[in-house]
Amino acid sequence: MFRKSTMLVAVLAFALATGTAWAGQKRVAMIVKTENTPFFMDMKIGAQEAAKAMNVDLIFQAPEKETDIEKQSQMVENMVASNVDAIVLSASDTVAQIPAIVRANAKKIPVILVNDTIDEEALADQGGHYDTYIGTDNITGGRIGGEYAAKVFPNGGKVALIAGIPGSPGSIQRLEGFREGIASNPKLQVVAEQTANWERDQAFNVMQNILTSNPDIAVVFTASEYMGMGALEAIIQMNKADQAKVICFDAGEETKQSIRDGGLFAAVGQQPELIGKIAIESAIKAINGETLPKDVPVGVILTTKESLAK
Amino acid sequence: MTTTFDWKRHLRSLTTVIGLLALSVILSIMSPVFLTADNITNVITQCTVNAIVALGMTVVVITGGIDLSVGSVLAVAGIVMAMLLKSGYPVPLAMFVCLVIGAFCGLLNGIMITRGKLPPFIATLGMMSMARGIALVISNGRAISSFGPGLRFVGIGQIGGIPVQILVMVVLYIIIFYLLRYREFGRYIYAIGGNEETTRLSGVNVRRYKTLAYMLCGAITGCAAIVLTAKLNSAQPIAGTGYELDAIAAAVIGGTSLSGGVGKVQGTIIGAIIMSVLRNGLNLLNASSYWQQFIIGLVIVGAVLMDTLQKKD
Repeated sequence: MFRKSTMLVAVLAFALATGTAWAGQKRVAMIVKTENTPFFMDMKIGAQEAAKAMNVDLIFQAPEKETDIEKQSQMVENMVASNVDAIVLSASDTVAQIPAIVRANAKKIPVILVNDTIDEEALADQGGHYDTYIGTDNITGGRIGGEYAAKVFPNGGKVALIAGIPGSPGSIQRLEGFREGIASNPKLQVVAEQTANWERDQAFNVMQNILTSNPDIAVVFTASEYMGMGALEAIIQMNKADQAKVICFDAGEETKQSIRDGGLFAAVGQQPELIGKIAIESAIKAINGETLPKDVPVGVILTTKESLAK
Repeated sequence: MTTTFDWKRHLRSLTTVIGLLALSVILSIMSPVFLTADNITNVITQCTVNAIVALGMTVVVITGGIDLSVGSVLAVAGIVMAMLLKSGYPVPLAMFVCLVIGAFCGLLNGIMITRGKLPPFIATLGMMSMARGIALVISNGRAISSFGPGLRFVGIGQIGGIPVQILVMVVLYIIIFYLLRYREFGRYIYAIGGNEETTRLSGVNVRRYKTLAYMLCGAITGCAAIVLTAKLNSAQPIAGTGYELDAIAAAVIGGTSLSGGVGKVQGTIIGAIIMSVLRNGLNLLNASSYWQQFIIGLVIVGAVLMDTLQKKD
């Protein structure tokens, strides 16, 4: 009896949480890495608006953490099993999601990749393919940040880089791009590169430690905005706000406000809402049998105090 | 005879302290800034949140239990406090509610374990997910940032030159040290961890003291939520992810046994400082992040290995 009623409650809660779909609508599943960062929240907003405008039933899902790779592949598999009309995926790993993509291919469900690329060679080896990739070029994004730093700090100085989870392709490419960007100004020298695992609290500690071994850091580049805010907080508390400037990747509302208030120095803003919108539009095109370009690059916008004042 | 006995009894906490000293000597040779006053302050302030969470964890682990929900409880307590502050409630009230939420989650854990007969691992695993879910739901997934000077004082303020967050940590440690050592609460939870059945048969209300242990752990986690939110000037629904493991590691490095009945808060704080020293030192040396993970794991295993090898002797 106890067991039965528990099950009933669980089923009811599940029905409440998932909602129900309209018959006849196209069903598009969008699975991203996490729902807890401004970046993916904005992407969700863009996708939801596009879905509403095009009368699409959007099923938006994400594991709790970006590192929950296995949970994400289960979500993709579940969506394949429930015969959605298209899948939009921001893959949390370059190879781990391939088997799930191959399953979608087998059912002829179009796969649209957003934000994160996957290992093309491994995908081809396992006989899989995707329809289109929509996202920011991370290397270019990092480079734009670096070039800006090279320009506004002509006198150079020491540079610290704060990375995301070790091995994460987005983080590696952003930092690589940034290094390329500052190369034109040899007076800017990278003296520290440390990970804060995409976490704000860890970036706080890491920044304190970097400033202890290199008290004269002039420029900090972080691979995400939350890490930028954590680093900034440490800099402020060590009374170094006049000397150490933080440039971060991504520019959500909190980041923009901080730049306006003279906190963060600049941000390389991706356009997650636009990415979400294009993703849904592409999914519908793919469902209708249109051929899509292999790659849809979405530009980045350098966000500074000046650009926000305009 | 007495001296031999004392020596053995204190050996475990001594090895932890010696480990910390050895680590510090190595790091001070490798990095010229390691032993500066500023850096030592950094190391201690960087360990406060973990040390506080680990303090509550130690209490629970002594009963033979475990609390996997601390990270999520920290997040939900922090978010609620942040929302209250943003709606203009006074700081002391918001902080008090933060502690109450922590204690309430602990109470639920305790009830599930003692009345529902769930294994602590399962009950707190469920609470970990539920509390995280609630934190995300009520905050709509977004961080809540920028608070007034009242809360910020805990994060960046100083009293007599000592950071407030360190004072908070020390006061909590002294309170729990006293409770464990000199009150019947302490005697009973060690007894429960040592042999629950015997303790019950000797007339102790085991359910009550176990539930109290989880409530205490929850309330202490609420304190950690205050410190973390004050420090970062931001409460996040995903704050505290993985903190349960850091807390267990600190307790275990400090000599607390996961099988219950054994553990000291003095050991736990040394354990938390060791972890903080390691992360700080590896940052100072600009060590590869890949190696950092490996080294921290090695220290955890090494510390417990010393423990088990000693017991064999």
